[in-house]
Amino acid sequence: MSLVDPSLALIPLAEQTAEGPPAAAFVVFGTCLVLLTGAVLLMIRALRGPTVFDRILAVNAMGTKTVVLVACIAFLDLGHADPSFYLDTSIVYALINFVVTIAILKYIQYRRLS
Amino acid sequence: MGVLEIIGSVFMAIGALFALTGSVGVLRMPDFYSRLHPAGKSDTLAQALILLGLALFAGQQLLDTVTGPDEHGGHGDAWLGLANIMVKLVLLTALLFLTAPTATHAIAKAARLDRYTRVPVENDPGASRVAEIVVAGDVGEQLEETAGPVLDVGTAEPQRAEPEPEPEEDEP
Repeated sequence: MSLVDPSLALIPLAEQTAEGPPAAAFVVFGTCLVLLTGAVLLMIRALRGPTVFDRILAVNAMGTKTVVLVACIAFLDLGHADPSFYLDTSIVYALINFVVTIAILKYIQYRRLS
Repeated sequence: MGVLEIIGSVFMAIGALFALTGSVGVLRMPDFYSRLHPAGKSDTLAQALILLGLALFAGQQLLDTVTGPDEHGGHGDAWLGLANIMVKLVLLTALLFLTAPTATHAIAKAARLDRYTRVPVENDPGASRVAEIVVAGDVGEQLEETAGPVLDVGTAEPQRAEPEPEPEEDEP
């Protein structure tokens, strides 16, 4: 269960270390960097949003980006770790993000949660 | 790189482009209702594309594990773990596809019902005034919200200064 191609096991070890990480890891890493950049831009909007709904919208989008980021981090070290725990974390985070958004909206609208 | 990894890389590149576009749109759009557009649509498509790209990576691993040479006389349980990962990714994609537009719709509905909000005064960060979110093409007072008793939040007067208790409301 590794990102390295199984046919590489037939190649001697010295050529394997010269191979470096697989190309898929670079794609996942670049996607992580793009997601972090987008989260920083959304954080700027959340800090200076004129209305409270701008802040809620930005925080909700940041939560969605965090879910995807955790799922991407799971695949960065696929050769040595089990990514299913990270995916459990991101499923739970997606549920909590949705519930928190609805709860904050309800609190703002009615000034109470019941 | 296998075929599925190449397709997954293309998916993830397009998804990352959509994610960055949505973030820049949320930061740069002029008013709140315009900001709903990139946050609601491009983020939903971006997360779907990125997670499906990751699922294709796992599918390439699964394909390599099943069809690859087995030195140990069997494949073991590696395919089961990879199938588990793919199922979780597809489940996460479906979950976000349901919840992200719902949350955006809830934010839009709440902002529409609460048309008068506090915005900061220009060149005076300490003060704020009650103002209306100006929307092009907004019909304003002529629009009658057919809201039920739960969503009936009152008149168009701004009441955010002091939330007085309302004894006659009949909510559960």
